[in-house]
Amino acid sequence: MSLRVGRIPAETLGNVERVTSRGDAVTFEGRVSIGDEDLTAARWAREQLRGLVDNVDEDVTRLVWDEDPWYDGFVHVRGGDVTIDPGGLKRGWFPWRLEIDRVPGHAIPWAEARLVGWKRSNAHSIPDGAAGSAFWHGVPGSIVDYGHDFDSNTTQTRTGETGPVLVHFPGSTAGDGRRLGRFTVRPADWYQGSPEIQWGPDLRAVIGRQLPGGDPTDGWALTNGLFKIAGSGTAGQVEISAWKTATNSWSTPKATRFRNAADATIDVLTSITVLRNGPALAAIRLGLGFSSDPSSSLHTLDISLRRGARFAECMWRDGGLIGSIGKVQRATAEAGSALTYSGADFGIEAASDDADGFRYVMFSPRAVGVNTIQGGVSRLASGAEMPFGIGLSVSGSGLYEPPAYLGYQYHHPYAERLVVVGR
Amino acid sequence: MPVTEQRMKPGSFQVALRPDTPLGVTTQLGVSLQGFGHVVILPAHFPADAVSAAELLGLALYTGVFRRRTGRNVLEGAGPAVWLGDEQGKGRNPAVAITKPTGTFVQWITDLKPPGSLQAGTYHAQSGTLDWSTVDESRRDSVDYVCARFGCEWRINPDLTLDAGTADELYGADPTVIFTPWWDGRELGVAGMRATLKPVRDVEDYTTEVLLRGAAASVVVSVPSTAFKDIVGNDVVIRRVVDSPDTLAGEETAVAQSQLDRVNFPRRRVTATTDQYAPTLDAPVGAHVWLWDPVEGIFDASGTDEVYYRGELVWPDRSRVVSCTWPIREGMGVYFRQVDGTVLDLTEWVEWESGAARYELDSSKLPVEAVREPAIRVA
Repeated sequence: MSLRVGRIPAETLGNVERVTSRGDAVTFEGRVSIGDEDLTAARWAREQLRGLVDNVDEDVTRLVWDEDPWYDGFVHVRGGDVTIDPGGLKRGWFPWRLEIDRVPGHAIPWAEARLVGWKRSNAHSIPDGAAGSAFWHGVPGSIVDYGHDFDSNTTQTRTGETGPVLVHFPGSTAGDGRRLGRFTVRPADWYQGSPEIQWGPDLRAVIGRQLPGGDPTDGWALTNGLFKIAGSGTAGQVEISAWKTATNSWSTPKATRFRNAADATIDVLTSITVLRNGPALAAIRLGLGFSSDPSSSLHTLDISLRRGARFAECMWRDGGLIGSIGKVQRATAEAGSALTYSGADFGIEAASDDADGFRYVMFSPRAVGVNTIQGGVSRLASGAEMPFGIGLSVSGSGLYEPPAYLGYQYHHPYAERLVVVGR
Repeated sequence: MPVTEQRMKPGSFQVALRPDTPLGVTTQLGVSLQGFGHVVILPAHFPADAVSAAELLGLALYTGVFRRRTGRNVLEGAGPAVWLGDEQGKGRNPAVAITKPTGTFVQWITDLKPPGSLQAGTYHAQSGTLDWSTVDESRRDSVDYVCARFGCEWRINPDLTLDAGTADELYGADPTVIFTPWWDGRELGVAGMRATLKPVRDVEDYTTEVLLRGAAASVVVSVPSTAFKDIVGNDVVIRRVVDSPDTLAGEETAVAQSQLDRVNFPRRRVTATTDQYAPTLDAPVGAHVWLWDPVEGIFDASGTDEVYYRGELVWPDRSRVVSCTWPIREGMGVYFRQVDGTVLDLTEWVEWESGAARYELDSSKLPVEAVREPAIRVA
């Protein structure tokens, strides 16, 4: 009796009670059953359904219905809502409605990853395609087929909480520009390795770009099943962890702090905003500041996570343009070693594996100094913004996993747009 | 019924008043008395008595010259460029020759600006001089010619001042707006304009040879090669004839080459439609803007323009606004500045428009469409 549409988990929507079809337009109706006093389930169903409607980041998404798999496929969500009325609490259920259009090739269409990218401008002379295969993008690990127009292609499978992810390395060494990866995937596997924004005390999936109302400090996380960056119990800090395949669990979180050039530490979280929320990339913006000086509390930290990435791409900005940014450091000292390219420091890695077998990594395209005692990077010339990457390297697990290679991958991003097309 | 602004051209406007507009208002808008008065549109409404006529122009989003009334309630006209010269070449054309054997750019623009109807704005000095003379010609055509010779442009601001200089000097070298279907919102230094982008590529103006007939001689310049073939596989040859009696002896080849360079590639333009209110506040006609829609093949093919926007590094196409047609929407202020300088507030009676604004954007750097067909294999 489970219906999964988009990222909405099977348990959220509860029973499907009626399905009506007219051509490729299908309407599902059902009810969210709740406990006597708990509105949370109905509210989440409402927010998640609304988030799917005319979603600019997910114009097409998957639909899987265990009761009648002939409906499984890819759809555009045209409408959806949950009616929350006073009688619902007494009844113990709330009705919902979902209106979808099946896209051409509905059951198993092609997905085209339109890739545009070049090497990041950087202060370290990292060249196009450093170390051979720095450009990359990830697709679900259980794809049926994959085609590309790359010069060459090597792959690596990374396995995380949501299943395997196949990371493709086109091997371009001369910039890149526009590329195309085309794959077929079954609807059930669509979100393998996809980034997901989670919010609230129980960290449920946010769909669309509107966060439910509430305190931004209630809890948040951004995860792709391989790597997770989340809020910390200490305001203004973030915690990172990685998926341990050996134990099918997350590693012990590591806290990261942010300091300005005068060593004042960010200690206020004021807001969370969703910037992007698609299956290939999700991004949030944190509003940050200093409790000691609210007048300078205009800092933002954008955190972006791609499918298949072992690091988050971040942009820390001082909206007041005071230009005092900045230092990104481990909150608890953990010794590190500089990552260098042709003699220039571009980041830092932990000096040794932690108890879970991971090494923290940080890198930036700006000229940075490294703090090998605390563990961190800082802009050599403080400014109003600092782009950086932060991640966890898996020890000894393949060509593309060492800390320096993660840094090269950070410096070679693709802006990816997923388009579902017919065959 | 909207306003159309065009780069270095008059454009047009149409303001419709509601059918219940009192006669006491519309009788003050007769063409016979108020022709060449000015319609002034502000992004917000101010009571007419709260601002002076000069302040009104300073706050204006758009100023148009009233030239036609259709029925009782529809006012039409063109942009203030008609004061430089209208669509038919009419205007305060110089009756006495303006001649400058060693005229600088600023000297030329200073003397070509019509007295009275336009005020001097900012003229940016350029290197070099121009030996030329003009008489009886439209001042707009003459300013176009002088600007072309110095690699410059001109614009007339809503306060009826004339500016002239390079595009970078007039509009700033770096775009401050990104047109894209996926986002809106502002970043540090970049404003988002959510828009539907459609690229248009054509070879309708494509030319392989220019025959230029100058004052003293004719020359032909050609492209070294072309990628286009006719039906039997020969290179296409498309000759354009340019009559240019103003081109002096010895300058024919350079002028012909500059003409050829304008049209020796497939033309690439983009149309953008946006629901944004008063979009020209952020992206005025003439401005440099970013365009980003890789699904439609709109991105920077050189990879040199790296822009961070809303959580992602992108490489947008650097483009320029050629024209914009935008609706007169509720919330704006609409005024008529009568020929005696008094201001009539029409805001209360305007038939407001809805719908999207439409931009025409020049994107000569757009990449070619070709993407190699992937060779499908089982992963």
